[in-house]
Amino acid sequence: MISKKSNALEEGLICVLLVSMTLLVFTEVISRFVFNAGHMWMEEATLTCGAWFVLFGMSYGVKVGAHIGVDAFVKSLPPQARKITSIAAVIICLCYCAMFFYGSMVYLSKMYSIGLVMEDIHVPAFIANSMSEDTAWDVFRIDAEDPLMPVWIMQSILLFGFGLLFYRFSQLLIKIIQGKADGFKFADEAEESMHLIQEESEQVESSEQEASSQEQSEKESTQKESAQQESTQQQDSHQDITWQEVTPQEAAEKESTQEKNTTKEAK
Amino acid sequence: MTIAALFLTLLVCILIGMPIAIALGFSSMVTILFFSNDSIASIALKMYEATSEHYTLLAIPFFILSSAFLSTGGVARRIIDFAVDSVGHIRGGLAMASVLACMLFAAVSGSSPATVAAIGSICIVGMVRAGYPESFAAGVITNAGTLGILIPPSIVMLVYSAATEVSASRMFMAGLIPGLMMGSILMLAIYIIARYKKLPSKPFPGIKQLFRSGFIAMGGLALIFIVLGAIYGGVASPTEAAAVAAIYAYLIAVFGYRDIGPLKGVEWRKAKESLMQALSRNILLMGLAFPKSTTDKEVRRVILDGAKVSIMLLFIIANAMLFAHVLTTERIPHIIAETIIGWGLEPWSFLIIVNILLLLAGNFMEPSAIILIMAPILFPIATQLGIDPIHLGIIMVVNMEIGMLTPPVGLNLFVTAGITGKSMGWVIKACLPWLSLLLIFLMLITYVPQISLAFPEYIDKLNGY
Repeated sequence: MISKKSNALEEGLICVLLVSMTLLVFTEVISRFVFNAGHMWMEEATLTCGAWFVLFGMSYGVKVGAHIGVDAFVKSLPPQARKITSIAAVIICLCYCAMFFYGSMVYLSKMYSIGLVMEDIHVPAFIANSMSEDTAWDVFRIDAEDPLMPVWIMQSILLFGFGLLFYRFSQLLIKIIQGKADGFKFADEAEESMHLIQEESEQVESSEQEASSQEQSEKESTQKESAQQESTQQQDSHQDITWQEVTPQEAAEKESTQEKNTTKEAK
Repeated sequence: MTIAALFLTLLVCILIGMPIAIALGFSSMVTILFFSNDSIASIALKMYEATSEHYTLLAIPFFILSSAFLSTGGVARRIIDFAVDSVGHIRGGLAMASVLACMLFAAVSGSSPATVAAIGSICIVGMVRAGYPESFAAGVITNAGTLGILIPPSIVMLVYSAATEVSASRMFMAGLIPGLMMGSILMLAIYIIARYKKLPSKPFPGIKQLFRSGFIAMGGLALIFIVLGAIYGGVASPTEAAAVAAIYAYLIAVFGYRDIGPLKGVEWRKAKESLMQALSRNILLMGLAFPKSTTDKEVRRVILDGAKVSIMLLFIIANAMLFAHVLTTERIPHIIAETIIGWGLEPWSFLIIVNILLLLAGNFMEPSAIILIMAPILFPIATQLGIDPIHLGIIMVVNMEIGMLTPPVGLNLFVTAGITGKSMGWVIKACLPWLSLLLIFLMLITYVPQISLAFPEYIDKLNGY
């Protein structure tokens, strides 16, 4: 139950970041071309969204197996050796996360102690006004006179992201030791494209079924049409069945409506 | 010593099956910690900068998002209808139409395997039914599908410009002529074979039908014109064009074609409905569908799919930038370049080595990963030898195309094997004659830089440089 909710939250946040990035750039384009105005903070906000998107998303990528790698060599090993190499690989990944985690911590604490701020993004006024000047500076490093967003808050995703990445890799490590997984799950673009094939074959089947009754195919052709055509019904339904070449063999094979259509078209 | 440490760690990490991104990041980090004075905190800062300081890079998630919306079977079908209506009446026209459809769909989707899957699943069956040999059909589609990464807008090109800081707009200009050329070479070869083998053709459907299917396909194809027009005209940067493209793709997929989302299956015009009725009904429905689409399951899945691929790519790029940083600070490409020039290597023989290297790497890794590792090394060497960076980029992209067709990691081969249900060996054999065509094309691209450079230079001239 909790994992389901956290999963939805994770996916939701990733989608929101991507969409808000797109909308920010889109709005910027529109405001520049239509209203001839630009906003400095938008570019910075877009870039920050980009950084959060990647650094937050990288652990999600491990979870769902979105990253790519070369597994040709590992797959050729015998199972026992494969398990050991996989464990070694995950441990190196954990070292990577730990180093970055430590590095981010040192870096962010420096940013905090200096009190560096972003260039254009401001702290929303209602937050800035809700606290006294002293707490604003002492706790959050916000300058009350010019409330720009502190860098340490905006870049805290470094710490958070690598922490999450560490967590995902340790989950994977446990799974490999228990024998529930045998290595990294990598994205396979070829496999992902396969859903297009299935989708297609389903559609072809369904449209062929539809073609068997003339009424339905007429309905489908009108669905695709917009205002300008009404006269070429027969031609259209032929078009919708899938485009097939008119060869003598085929015409002989398909005796039902298709043949009717093709002969009508020929006339 | 540093060079050896860096590359050895990288190689071992990749071999034991680590994600490429982390292999790159880890090897660079180890090298920095052992061989330079940079602090660990500065590496963390570099990582953050790599993800947040490159505005051009954001074009990648936007293009991926737009292609996720339009890489559907429905869009492929509309493009194929249009392609068949326009060239189907020529001898061997169905095969030529599939090549044309691959080119158009490739430009919209930017992904090779997706092109093969979407176009191939309709076209291969169609061609076989029409009396073409199956191996011929499979070979044509598998090869034409690789055009996806050469015809702009192409994600691999964006990755190249991220790795070398070459202008992405210029890469998009440079890719146009080679892409069209490769498409025409394939079509020409098909025409010759069709004449020789007496392959069938389809009667011309009439101008009206051509306009109709063209109009329907234009919904998706307009994306290409928006993007390329904005970039070639210098109106918008690739990032801005890509963001507009992503929004446009969403509107077309959800409200225009209605393949996904709340309006799925809703007709534009019902039978016996007057124009005004249809118009007002559609406006009302679209108004309602707009808020609905934000919570729609399918729309969300498309966005999430796009997000996954973008995260994967951007994470590799961020780590590759760390890698490139190590390369530059340790002056590694410089050292290699000096050695190579010390051997007295000519540019043309360097290019042969580059091609062989890339073809070999293409057998094992994904295009974007190869480019991110190889480009920062090859780029400085090429510049020293006087090879244009844009030209080098196109050479790399064409090499990556061939890598899609060579086992064991030839993505297009897997997809075709999936469509036809035949073995990998059969697919490879079917592709071989066309692959040789692609190799000849690679030679052309490598030794005639004008093919890639003429168009960007022409546009420069128009702009008065």
